[in-house]
Amino acid sequence: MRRIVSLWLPHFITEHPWQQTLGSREQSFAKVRRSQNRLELAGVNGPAHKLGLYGGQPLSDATAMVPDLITLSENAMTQRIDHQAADHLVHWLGQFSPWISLDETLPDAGFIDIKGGLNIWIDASGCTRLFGGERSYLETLHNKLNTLGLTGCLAMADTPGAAWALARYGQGNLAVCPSNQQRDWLKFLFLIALRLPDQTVENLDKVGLRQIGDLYDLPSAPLALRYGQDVARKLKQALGLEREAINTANGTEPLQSHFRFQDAVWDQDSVQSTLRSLTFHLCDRMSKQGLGAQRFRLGLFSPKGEVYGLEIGLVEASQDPAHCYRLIQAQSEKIELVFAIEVVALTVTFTGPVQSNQQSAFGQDNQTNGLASLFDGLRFRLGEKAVYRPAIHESHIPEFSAGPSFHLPLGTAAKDRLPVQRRSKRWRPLHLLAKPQPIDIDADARLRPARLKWRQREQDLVSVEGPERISPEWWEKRQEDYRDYYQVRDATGHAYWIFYSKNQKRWFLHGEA
Amino acid sequence: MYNSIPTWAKGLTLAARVNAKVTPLASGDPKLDSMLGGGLVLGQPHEILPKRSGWDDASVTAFTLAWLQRRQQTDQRLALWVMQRPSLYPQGLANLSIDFDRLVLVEAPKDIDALWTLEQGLFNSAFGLVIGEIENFDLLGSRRLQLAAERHNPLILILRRSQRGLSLKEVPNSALTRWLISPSSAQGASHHNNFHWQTNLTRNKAGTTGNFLMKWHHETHRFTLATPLHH
Repeated sequence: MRRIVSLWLPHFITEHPWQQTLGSREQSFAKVRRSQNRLELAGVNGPAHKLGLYGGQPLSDATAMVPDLITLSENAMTQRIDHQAADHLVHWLGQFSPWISLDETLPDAGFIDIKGGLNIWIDASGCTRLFGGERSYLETLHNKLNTLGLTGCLAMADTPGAAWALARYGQGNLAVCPSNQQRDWLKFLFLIALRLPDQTVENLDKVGLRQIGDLYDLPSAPLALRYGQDVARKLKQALGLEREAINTANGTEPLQSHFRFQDAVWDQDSVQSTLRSLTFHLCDRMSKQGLGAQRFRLGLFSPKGEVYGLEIGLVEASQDPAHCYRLIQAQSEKIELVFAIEVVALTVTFTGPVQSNQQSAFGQDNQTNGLASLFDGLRFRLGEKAVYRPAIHESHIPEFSAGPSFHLPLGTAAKDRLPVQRRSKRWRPLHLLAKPQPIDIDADARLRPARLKWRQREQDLVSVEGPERISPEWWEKRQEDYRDYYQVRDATGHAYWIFYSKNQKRWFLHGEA
Repeated sequence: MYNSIPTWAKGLTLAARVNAKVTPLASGDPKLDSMLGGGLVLGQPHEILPKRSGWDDASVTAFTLAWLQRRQQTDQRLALWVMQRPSLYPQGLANLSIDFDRLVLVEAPKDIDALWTLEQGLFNSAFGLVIGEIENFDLLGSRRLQLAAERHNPLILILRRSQRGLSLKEVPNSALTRWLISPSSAQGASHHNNFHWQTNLTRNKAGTTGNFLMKWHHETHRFTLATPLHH
């Protein structure tokens, strides 16, 4: 019997343990993002939620309601941390089921929803006995999440649709819908619980269809004709009349392969030889389906419940076992085995169509169009984060306004192009120092920089342009901490980008041109 | 790995390498182009050094970016830039109209990794320009790059750079040209993206060497040459 748990962490991005908390957990806290031309809340924590704030709310409304709201602006870095925390949580959940996935079936794309919540699927089929039943399985999970400081809403049912609906709109934080009773349990929930687009729900509401039960006795053909296939399909899926595939985008069974040792092992060799055969096994299955792996998840489990988790990404989908294994080996060999390994599990978490006949990136013979395996090969030798494209981010703070994009070009097709971001209209240096360096500046009578001293360099400045004042994002409560930037050029022609920090009351060098 | 000429290169003769049919990358200044034999010749390394290591690194970057900009206009293929550390600032690059969709950056702090990465890039026809930041660029390293560049004839620019700010030695290698770059004090307060360099061309297989002032015109994407000061 298939038993699915939908786990919803409504306040994930403001609550996860890697979120630097500016105040105590009892204070209202929200993350802020820029959406078109306004600022809105990206996510709120529990206390802020109790005061009526919600993700997607305009920031001005929120600060009017809760004047002492603590905010943090979202940027590429905080988003990356959120995603890493989500990945980490997925590995941690490995102790409850071997099969966990981030829910990416939401209408608003991405596994972190627009209100800052995280949605996770757990296939609990056959896992609950170890925990003494289904209810205590969920209770254990709920309590463990609590100790991490995470608010979790969970529900278990036969179908993903029913579990999802009950986790969000059921009573209490915890619901176990007994097998084959989803029809009764869903009856009185509102239609929004079926994961339908808002517009569809509104249209149905106009004709008096409000609860899921209202749809039970309607003929499905006219319903589909009038309101789209989605309504009838989502209903059937939730009730278990039609199977809904989750996780794998193409609706196939998850590609997982695992091996259990008779006795737990300590040595890297056994782990590697197991991984090798698992990789070959998976690639064999994929080539039969005409698929390639884009991402692997590797799990090493000890008998006592410790877990190592690892994600291995490929630039382009591949079904070449030797190529895949080289990449997996490169990452997994770095793991230091401090506990014995009982189970090795390898899953393909993302698949894609195989683009071309890849050749090994490690031979000499990849002359043409082997770009994907070339990039994989470079990452293999130089590190996962060493190959990228430059990209511009939307921020006016210099160090946050640019960064790497790991989406690499494999051709000139439109899908390989990065979205065009607005670049700064002001002049910017070609080199930005990783960390601004303190320098000494002599100012002239008008308090403008006139002479620069940095290490052995000491020169008069012949050209000074500025200041360009750069303040923190306006909702952050340290407005006086601005920087005044100047573009200067010394007598020998060297150009520098320097700033005066109001807060630290001194000069820094931030870039060279 | 770099102590010998690789097996795949045996039997190839260097003399046959220079493919005269491939048009060099012109600078936009007729005087300079005729000095270089039409522009920067493809398929063999060109070496660019800061006049003073550490101090003039940013000028070397600007000089290279100007060539990259010109290359991107005439060649639709990708460019590969192998960096010692992530110092390039995309906002500054965007101001110079560099196309990010055709630029791949790789971090390789060690020379041996950087040379290996350059070689991988040269094997692949997708790259029309490879740029590498290298501390020591000797005869063997340059020969290997030249052999790897054989099939696809991309433009190769080697930027000499020392992360520790050590002085960089000019050693014999197979670079076609060698440029010593420093900023020009003549620039004054003129627009920041119109660079002026004091250029010392100390090696030029196609013609004469010399000291001159070079300018980059951001609006027209061209180099121009002021009269050579002396030979």
